[in-house]
Amino acid sequence: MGLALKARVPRAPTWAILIGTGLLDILFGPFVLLGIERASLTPGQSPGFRLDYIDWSHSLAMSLVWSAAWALPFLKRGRAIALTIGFAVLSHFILDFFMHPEDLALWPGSRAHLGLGLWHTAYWWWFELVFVCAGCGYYWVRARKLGTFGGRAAWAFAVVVALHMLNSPWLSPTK
Amino acid sequence: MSTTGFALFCLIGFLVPVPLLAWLDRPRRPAVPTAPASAR
Repeated sequence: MGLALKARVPRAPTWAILIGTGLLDILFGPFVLLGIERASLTPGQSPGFRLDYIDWSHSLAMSLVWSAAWALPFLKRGRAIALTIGFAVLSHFILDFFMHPEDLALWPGSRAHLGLGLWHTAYWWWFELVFVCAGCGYYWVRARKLGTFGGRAAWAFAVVVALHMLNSPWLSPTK
Repeated sequence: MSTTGFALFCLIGFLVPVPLLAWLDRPRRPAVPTAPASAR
């Protein structure tokens, strides 16, 4: 998603988009270590973990807050760039909505939780792979056409697919 | 893997690839500077 957004708005800084797309998980790590959020490992049961309480990093309301907070410093570079970076953060919630099994709260402490639960199906990794290839493919095509970014777009594509392989049911450390 | 390891895996997994992907994203050829109007 990050590379696709970069291809859509090439003027936006790549690092800010990429950190934006991962920001909710980047926050989730320290929040678990600090005891603010909770997760359990479920070896042998896809996807290998259960997210017991992730309302401060991953709820809809907090996703909007993190989107705005991450986008705000980039407003001076223009509205389009700030909106792109803000959407990069929110896109994490949107994509998680398809994958997570009803553990995405509307706001911290909300009883209502969202998630279609594709992670609990046998084909979740392939579904994500199709999305990864679509996003990276768009980035590759746009990079070749414009020439202002993606000097090594094929390598970037390969790195993202390799990272997805590391997160596969066969290689993931949580399997 | 412990829950702490899982939390670190999420944190590092999203941070480490950023500099590599940003480097791969750089254009191969630097943009050609436009000549100033006085030089045309």
